[in-house]
Amino acid sequence: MRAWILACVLVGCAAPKPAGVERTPAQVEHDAPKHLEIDRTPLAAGAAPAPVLSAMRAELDRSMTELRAHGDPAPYYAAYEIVDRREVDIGAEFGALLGASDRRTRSLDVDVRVGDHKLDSSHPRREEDQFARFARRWGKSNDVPIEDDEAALRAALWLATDARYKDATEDLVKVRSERAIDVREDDTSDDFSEDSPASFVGPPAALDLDQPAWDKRVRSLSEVFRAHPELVEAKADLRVSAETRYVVTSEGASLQRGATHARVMFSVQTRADDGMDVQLSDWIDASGVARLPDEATLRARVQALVDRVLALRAAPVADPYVGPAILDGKAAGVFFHETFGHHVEGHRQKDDLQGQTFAKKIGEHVMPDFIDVWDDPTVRALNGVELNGAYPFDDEGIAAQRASLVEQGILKGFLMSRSPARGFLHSNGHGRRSPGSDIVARQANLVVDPARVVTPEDLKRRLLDEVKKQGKPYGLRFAEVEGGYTNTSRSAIQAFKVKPVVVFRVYPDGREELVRGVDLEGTPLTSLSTILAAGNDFAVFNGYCGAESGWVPVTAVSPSLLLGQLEIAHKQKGHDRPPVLPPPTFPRGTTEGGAR
Amino acid sequence: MKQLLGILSLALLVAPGMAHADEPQAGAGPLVRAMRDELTRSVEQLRLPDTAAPYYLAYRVNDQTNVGVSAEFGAVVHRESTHHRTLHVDARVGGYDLDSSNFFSMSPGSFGRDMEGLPLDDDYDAIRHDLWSATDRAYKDAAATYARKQASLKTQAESSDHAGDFSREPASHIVVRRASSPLDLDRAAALAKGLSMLARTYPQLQGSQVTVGGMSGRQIFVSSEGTMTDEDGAVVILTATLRTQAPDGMPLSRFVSFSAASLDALPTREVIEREIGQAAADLSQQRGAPEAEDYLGPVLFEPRAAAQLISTLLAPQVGGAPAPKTDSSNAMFRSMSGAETELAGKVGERVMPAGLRVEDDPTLDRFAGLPLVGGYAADDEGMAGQKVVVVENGILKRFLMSRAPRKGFEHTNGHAHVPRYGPPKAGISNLIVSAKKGTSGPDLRKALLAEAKAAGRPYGVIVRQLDDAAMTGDVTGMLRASRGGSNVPPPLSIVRLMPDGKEQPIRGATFATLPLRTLEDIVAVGAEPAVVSGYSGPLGSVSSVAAPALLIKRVDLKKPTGTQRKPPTLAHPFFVGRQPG
Repeated sequence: MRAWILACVLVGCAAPKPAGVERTPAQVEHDAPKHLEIDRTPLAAGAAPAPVLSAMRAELDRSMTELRAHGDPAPYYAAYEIVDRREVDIGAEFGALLGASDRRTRSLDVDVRVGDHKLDSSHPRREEDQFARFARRWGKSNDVPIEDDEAALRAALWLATDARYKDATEDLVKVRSERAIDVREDDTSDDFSEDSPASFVGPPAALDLDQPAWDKRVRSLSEVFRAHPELVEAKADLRVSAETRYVVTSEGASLQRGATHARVMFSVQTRADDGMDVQLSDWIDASGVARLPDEATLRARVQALVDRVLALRAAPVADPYVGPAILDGKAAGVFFHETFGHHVEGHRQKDDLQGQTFAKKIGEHVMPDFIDVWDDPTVRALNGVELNGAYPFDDEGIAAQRASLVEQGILKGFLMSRSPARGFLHSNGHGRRSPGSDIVARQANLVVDPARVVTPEDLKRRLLDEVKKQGKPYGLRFAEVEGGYTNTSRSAIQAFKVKPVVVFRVYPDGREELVRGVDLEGTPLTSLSTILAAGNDFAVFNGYCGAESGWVPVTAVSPSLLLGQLEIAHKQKGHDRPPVLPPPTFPRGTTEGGAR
Repeated sequence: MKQLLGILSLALLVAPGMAHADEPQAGAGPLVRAMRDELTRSVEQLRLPDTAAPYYLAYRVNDQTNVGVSAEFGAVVHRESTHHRTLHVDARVGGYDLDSSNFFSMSPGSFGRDMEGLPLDDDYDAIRHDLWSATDRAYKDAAATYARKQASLKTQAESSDHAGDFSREPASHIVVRRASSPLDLDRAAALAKGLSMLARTYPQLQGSQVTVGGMSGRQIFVSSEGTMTDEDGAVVILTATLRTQAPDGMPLSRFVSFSAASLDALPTREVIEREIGQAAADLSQQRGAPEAEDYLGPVLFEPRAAAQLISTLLAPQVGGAPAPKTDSSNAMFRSMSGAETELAGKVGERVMPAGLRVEDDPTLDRFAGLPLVGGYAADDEGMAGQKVVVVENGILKRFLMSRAPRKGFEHTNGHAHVPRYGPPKAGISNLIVSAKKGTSGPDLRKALLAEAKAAGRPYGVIVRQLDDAAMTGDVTGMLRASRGGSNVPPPLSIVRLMPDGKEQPIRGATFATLPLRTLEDIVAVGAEPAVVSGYSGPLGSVSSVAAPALLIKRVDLKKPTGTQRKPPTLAHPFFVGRQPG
């Protein structure tokens, strides 16, 4: 069962206001102006190689020289990646600090390939079930010294290289023997592309955080919750990280790239009178603490979150429903990430264990012809919002590139790592992983880019038209989702699931009513084909995506979408009752503005 | 390292009812006041409409700082310090004879809930809010479990052994302040780094990890019975693990480990370095040693290995808490709910040879001059830790008890340990094995050779160290051991003792399964004890085991099987073209 949880989280960036043109019902079918401002500022290079990069190069060169001369078989490719990460977490609830942690790790991944580009030790083996694929890599990530001590670093690289070289040697024997007795795979693409990784030396990332000031700020933000003791859980968190990735390959590439990240997160939980747990979260991602919104803005976000969860607590429970629906931009982003993005990851197209939903659909219509979809890690910000999925080079050292996936509704390409698939011989810089996993193609910044867009008001009118046409009592609008997951494995149903948290019924008179307890499921091809129209309110969804190569930061961008048909089910509900005793109240006068 | 058990760090007095300690409001900080106030309110008012109010309610809060550093080949790999507060709520529905505890089912909360996080700030209101929500959850869990338990009991035959679910005990007041300071991260890192630098003088080693882990903290316990305990403590464990491979690829390792209440209380740097040097020298020698053969005969466990053996075979069996009942017929589920001690029904019977004594004493911090780190004044149920003689003159006398009673042992003796999940267990603190009459080292070797001769073996076997996955972190070693099917980890340090008194190291031996009754086959006991300390159980607490050398008449050792991966193809980069001093 490969049901990858996508714990993707929404950034609450305010959708840009549509152009303020007064429209009459007669104008419903008219296009609205499209606003998609793309920032591709390149990363600054020109730094000196860090000692860790030099140690990696020295040990890799020694290993390849010796193993090429004496190894039987000799490796044809090897690469090291070290991820140096420092992460600081600060959490608070109800005005009190929960704790802080400050963690620094350097994780090493070694890739060694024996055989040749055509057939090598990495070739997927049928005998190996999916669990075994995981198990053989589990625990193989090595933590290496966080100090710049060349002798200690090289000692760690030496042992890890030897272990991986021996793994590869054993794997190639198994690959060849399996090939001798088994039928040919459907897709006979090479195992490793002929590509040229780049060399780039940028400054290592440094964590710049005034911790006492942020302790105070996080504590103060959580004071807003004191006015609402009926919240069972209510937390404010700050997570700041500085990460430098070092890659060296036997093809000569050396990369050193740093990135900082900051996330503020608020999460609240309360319980409805019928016992249903109601949870909501709000996140803001940025490329550093300095780029986070100011305290007043954050405080307003906390208050808005509290108001929303309390409204949700009092809202009626949704009924099962099949009919037209609007997905607001962020929800639509998650929807595309699940229904489409995961299915166009290159390695899934040739792996026989995969469902291969889109493998043979290049050149065919997979969605309505007014929709383009592309993924571009080089986009750093969109409409002024920084994107989580931005990077200049992937974990194979390949320069990130824009991958055109769908043009006018027709499938054009896949997200590629250096694992080629039929008709796609080269990487487009989407080979990614978190430490401890094998690299596969992953999404970065997925953008749903319709050629024709209408204003949100027009989109709502279209929804109401559909409601009437289909004879439904109401339509639905999905305002927020907290994430979702999708299954791509052949052994299970090709389905996705998105977890909506804020959903409205939209009645024919235009009135909207909040409901709770909704689950959204479906199958990708069916769902995509029912898209009827798109808004011009592009929204950015920043999150993290978990799949076989680990957790990677991603972004999905979409305007709101009108779907002709969506199906919702009842969410599983807890059986607990609301708290027996009232919460102990917080004394008045201790809150600082949060009460109002 | 999630859990603090009050660790005696200095020989300060346990002070039941120490002045002012049990004065509720005066002088109590916001944390304790919040605990008392929410406890009081809950006891008075907490009640579901159709369910009984809790008859017992207790809060345990651990305020704990964990520090961990590791270094390899002269450089720091990990360095971490965390401070957190956790809350554990014990809410019970029913009564002392029959309550919501000691019962496992598929109902939510029956496994217990994870520890709840509490604010670090001494914010009375925020802490009380968390206490409120956690109490509510714990009470509902207990009410649901109690209902299921009652339903389940209706269909089961009445057990004549039932001694109640919760023992009646007088309230206790225990406050212990010790002069302990948090472990200095920089000093710990410098120590680990310096010691791991030693590996640069041993070209045969492939890995040399030194870890220094420590925790310091405070445990506060309040209950609806009026018990109040407040105790602090600290512990530091230093471990050096050395790894290499024999020329045929067999992995070999050794570790040395020291525990104390603080960095300053550890042995001197020179002593630690000497032990690491000795282990490295042993390991180098073992690389060229012959593989073990199958062997069925006498084995002399030297003190350290003997303490490890006791910790594996006997320590898990001396707790007397009865196995929880369950309404599930699923075998795996039943086994998860906890097993009855193998010693059940053996009270009054011989379990070891005459002259042997086993006791557990949480009030000690030293034994035969060696530091013990498993001690505490109050256990996880707020009860005073007491010295308990488990085996006297080879006869099983009694068990270590929590407040879960068993027939014949209706009261606690202060050995409750609450794991991260699940109900309290009764377990060891400082377990000490001793003999009336100890045999000297040379005489033990003579006795070993005599036993070997009697058994028709050409040599005897001495085991000096067993593997310990918790120390070496060697998961593959753990798997190896479990594949071998043995309950006892394989010996890392093992030699043949030849009739002429010479020692010959061997490698690759594993134990066949050793039953608990192996301890009845002890034929001689040494005079000098060793202490091994560490974390016991999957998320366990710190404990110590002291034992002298044990000569066991018949132990089944197996030769190695399977193939090994060859040693590294390339030479160690540091030693290429370098002649180590």
